[in-house]
Amino acid sequence: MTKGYLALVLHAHLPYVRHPEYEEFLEEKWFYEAVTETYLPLLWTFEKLAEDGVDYRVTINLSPTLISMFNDELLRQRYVKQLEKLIELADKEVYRTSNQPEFHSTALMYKDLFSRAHYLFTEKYRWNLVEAFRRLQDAGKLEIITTGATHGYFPLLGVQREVINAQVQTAVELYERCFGRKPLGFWLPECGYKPGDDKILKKYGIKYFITETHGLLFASPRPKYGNYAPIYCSSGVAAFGRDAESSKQVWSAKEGYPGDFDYRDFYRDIGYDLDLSYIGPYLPEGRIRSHTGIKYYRITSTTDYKEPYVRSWALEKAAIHAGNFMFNREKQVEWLSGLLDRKPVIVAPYDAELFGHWWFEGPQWLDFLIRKIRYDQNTIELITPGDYLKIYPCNQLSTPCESSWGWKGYHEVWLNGANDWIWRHLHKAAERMIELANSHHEADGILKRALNQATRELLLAQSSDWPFIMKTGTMVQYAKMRFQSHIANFTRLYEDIKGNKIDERWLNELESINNLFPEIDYRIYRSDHVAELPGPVAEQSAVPV
Amino acid sequence: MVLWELSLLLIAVLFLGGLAWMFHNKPLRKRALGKKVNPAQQKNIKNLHIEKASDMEAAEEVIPSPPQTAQKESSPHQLPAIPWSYGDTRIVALARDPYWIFAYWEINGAVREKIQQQYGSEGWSSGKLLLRVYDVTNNYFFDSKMILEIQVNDYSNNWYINTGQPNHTYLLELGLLLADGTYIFIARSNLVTMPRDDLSDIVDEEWLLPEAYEKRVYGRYIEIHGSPGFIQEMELKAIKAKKGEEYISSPINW
Repeated sequence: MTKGYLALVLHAHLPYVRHPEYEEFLEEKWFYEAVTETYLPLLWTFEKLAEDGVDYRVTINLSPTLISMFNDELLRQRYVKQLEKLIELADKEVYRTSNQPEFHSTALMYKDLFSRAHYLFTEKYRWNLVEAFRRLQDAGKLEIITTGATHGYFPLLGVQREVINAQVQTAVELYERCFGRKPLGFWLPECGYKPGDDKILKKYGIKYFITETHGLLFASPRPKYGNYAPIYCSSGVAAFGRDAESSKQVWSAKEGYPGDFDYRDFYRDIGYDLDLSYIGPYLPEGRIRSHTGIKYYRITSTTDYKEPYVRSWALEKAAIHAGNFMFNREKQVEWLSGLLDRKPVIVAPYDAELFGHWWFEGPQWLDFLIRKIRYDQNTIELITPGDYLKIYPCNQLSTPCESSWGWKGYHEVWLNGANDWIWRHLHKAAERMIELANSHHEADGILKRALNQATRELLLAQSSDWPFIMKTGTMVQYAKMRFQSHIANFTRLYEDIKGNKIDERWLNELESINNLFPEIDYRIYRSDHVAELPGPVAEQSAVPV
Repeated sequence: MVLWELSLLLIAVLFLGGLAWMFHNKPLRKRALGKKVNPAQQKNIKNLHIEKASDMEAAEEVIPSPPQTAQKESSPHQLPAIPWSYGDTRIVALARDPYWIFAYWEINGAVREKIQQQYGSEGWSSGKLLLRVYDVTNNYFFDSKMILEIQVNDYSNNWYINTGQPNHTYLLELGLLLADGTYIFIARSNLVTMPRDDLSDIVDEEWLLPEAYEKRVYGRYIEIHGSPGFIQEMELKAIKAKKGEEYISSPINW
């Protein structure tokens, strides 16, 4: 008999990176690589499971920026073009390694992987991945949730409630257009929660969100079931807490599965290893050393010493690790069932890009895990948070603790010496946007277009990705460029609107480059959206003027 | 081989030395100069649950760096100009974690001018810019007590303040203390509540059942035991619910 539940939650997000003003753009490759290595393999895994009649439930968050990239015609065209070049390279690699048996089968594997990606993308899914995810949700396999429009970091943006409203409203409206229903769950960007934000989620019909472990453990009053059952915020929105134990097994660089010596090494890539005259045509600008996606080595050791990748060993390990993960969850649930007077739920959220991109065998691990849970045991069952709330609608009333899943558990990743300078600009721009929205009840024509574009620029500036990249120290210049250009665009639009001197040519240009959320309506920033919300929670008073 | 090891050691020493030098030279304004007013505030700092990275599974692994195509960036990106300041006079406070507040501010030229007009041209330059931290937990503006007073540099526009007290609410004030002891108020911040860092002491349980479920559960009850009084009570509840109280609490543990 089932003694408890496991909720696997995948968080799929990339910042909006699209540069039509350039022929090719290095940072766009984040998206192309993730499609080939993560999103398509995951879709394929989920479809195969469904075709094989395996009963399963998995929750996946598709961020609005990611959905917008999936739906963008230019990025689709560029993706296929890029994938075709990769297939060409894989062909060459099959030929080049024909006398190197230790690499040849891996070269064939890549050719197969890329060709299948091409088939899936162009023929099976007809360039429309959102539709593919939608079908899996409609078939009762996936529970798709959403997150902040541009993955803005709520706890630090939230000094103006209108900003949170705009992030949530934009996301929920896009979701409804894409999936033909309302989202049940909301992925708080970076699991960043601040008491009171749930009231805005409530307004849009959200039933639950997920917090970091101590978001639940430190909740007040103290939750009776720890983080093994949801709690209700005073707004009635449920909060689920991330399970530390299951996260560690998958995430941890040291103790986690992905670091196993048999798995494929991420860093040794032919983009760095092979002669420029050969690999050049497949590198950015024909010369910039970077990842191609073709990697022949296994992790082997903790040093630089690497040995060739052996696919069968890696798959064997993925199966063992899936079994181990399941075994540990069974033990966890058995232990918990002695303590709780209800069936516990273990919430295990992961970045989707871990599967396939970082951890090459991740999708196979997931496939093995889901099959094993269905057929090899009876203690645990897969569930989505939405389903759990249907089984247990009565939950304890408590306020989750302000927290995030970032380093140290609060806001320091997005507020430190490397990025703290951005917040004054974000708060000021938001104040100006709110002013514009409140003072223009019914704009039309070019004024409306300028107001809507200002909304897009502000939303793009709010991505948590920019301060995160500034903190991590790689690609910093790109993050700064993006942040500053959106703030600069916004500021000029604000001044042009106020001064009644909108430059239509420049506006056209902006609309064609920063084109996400075509249906955006600047009035999402109006103060009356948040005015009627109960409050005040002390820290949420508006920025003083 | 020995030579190789020696050179590695040399590099390590140089690197560490460089790091130490860098930290030593960090601008003073980035450090909190605030002294503790109440020594009892120290207590929580020792038994932090989250402070050590190893305690948190939500360490770097949780958010690996964004997918990096390349270690190098495509081309040096041009940084568009953004405003230095916005001509405002304001201070904004953000909680970084349970113990630290980050504050940024801006003092508009007109404010400086006004002070100079009133208190003489040296009023500003000889005065001390002060950041006052008030603990307003539970009492808001009235009867709040100042727990820290930090002298900040005239040229700084942000500060990290260690308050050391999770779950307290603070208010920041920016002011100028003139040489003659006159205090001039400049700006007041938003209220900032620090996150909790520990289990809640409150263990009373309250339970919630969404209205829709309640209707189903009690609806069935009405079918079986429907007494007019009970039905009336439920109707009253429904009216109340429509007024915005969509959830009511229920002491039952399901």
